[in-house]
Amino acid sequence: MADEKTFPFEILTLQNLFLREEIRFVIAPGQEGVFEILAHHAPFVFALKPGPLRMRLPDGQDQYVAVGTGFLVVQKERTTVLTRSAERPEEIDVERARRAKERAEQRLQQKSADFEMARAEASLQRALARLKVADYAVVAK
Amino acid sequence: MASLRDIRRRIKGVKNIRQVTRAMNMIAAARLRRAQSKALSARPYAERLSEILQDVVTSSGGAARHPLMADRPVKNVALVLITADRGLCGPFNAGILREAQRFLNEQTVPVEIITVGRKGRDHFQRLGYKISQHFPQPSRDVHLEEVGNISKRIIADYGAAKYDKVYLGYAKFVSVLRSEPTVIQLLPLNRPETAKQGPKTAYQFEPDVEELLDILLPQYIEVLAYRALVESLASEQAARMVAMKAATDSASDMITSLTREYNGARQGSITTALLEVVAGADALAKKE
Repeated sequence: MADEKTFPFEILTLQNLFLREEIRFVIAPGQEGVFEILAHHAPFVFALKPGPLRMRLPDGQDQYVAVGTGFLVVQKERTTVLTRSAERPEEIDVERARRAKERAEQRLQQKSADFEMARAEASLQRALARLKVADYAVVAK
Repeated sequence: MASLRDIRRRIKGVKNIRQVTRAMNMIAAARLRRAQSKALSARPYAERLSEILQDVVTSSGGAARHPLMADRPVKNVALVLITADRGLCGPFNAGILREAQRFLNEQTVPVEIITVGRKGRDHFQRLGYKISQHFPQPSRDVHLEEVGNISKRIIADYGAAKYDKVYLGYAKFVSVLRSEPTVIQLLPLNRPETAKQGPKTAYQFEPDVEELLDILLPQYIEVLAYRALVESLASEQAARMVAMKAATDSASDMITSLTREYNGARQGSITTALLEVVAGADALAKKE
């Protein structure tokens, strides 16, 4: 298989080194669409939007993480995700995410100031990212 | 000489105060630990982010121009001043306020003061300065959302040319016994040193450099603000811990000397009473 090769990958948040793992590939939600990064990718920087990040571990298992806004940086030595927030499926409170989604949708409908709209939009995206990751995890099981 | 009852009352009062200062000392110690670990764990992220920022600016051949990095004629400046909401933390607030005053005296253009934390706002309001904006100080824990609100505001106002330079004043955490009140320039961001050299690694970007900087720079500023808030919080808690330790110790000293005085007074009154009894007995014996 072509994707047997692995490369070091890490997710950093302001709170901690969230994850450091050898992986085969990672599929991440970019601002301009979804990107897939394999080993030996050319140096690359792109902006992330909140969404599900998927990576394949060497044993063929897939792991999902809900990431917030941030960046993915491919360097020769390693690939790094810098993000405001990162959560594993088991850490996600589905009920809370669903409520947050509804709240955000309501606020988006009652058109208010731009500042408010941007915030509602961002929180909607975060909630959707969490829900997606939680869903995938259930399917994967 | 104070009466026995008075001394007893004072001892009790001092003991009560000591209990409070001791509790405050322990709370400050716990919060300091948390703030310190937060400051520490934010470091790798901040370092990597500034590394990437450098790389991005460098890879674009130094051509990248961004409003947040461009110098412009300075007509107004803003000072974002981080202090505590509360006192009883030794020289913490006084130190940062003194540094802020020195900064204000040096300025030749109008300065807008934006405060985080009540002490800074109250102090400069009393002196007749206008506080253009105020944010509550995150006193227990620094949340990224609150920091985001502050930094977004500042970036928006800077973008709207309300001010042409932004400084950030806060107490830099050096060690538990020392913090350093500092004022640093936040905006425009200093161009990375290496920008003039050729690129180390040729990166591809997505979206293009300008758009990427649009996203990167605000996040970088947010991280700078976050670190300043966390360090200020750590400095405050350290100062409070030390101040409350000193207060607890001097309360203990006071209790020791008051107790000595109390015992002396008690011994004195016993001696007097005994003398009276003996004298009385003597008088009776003489009669017989």
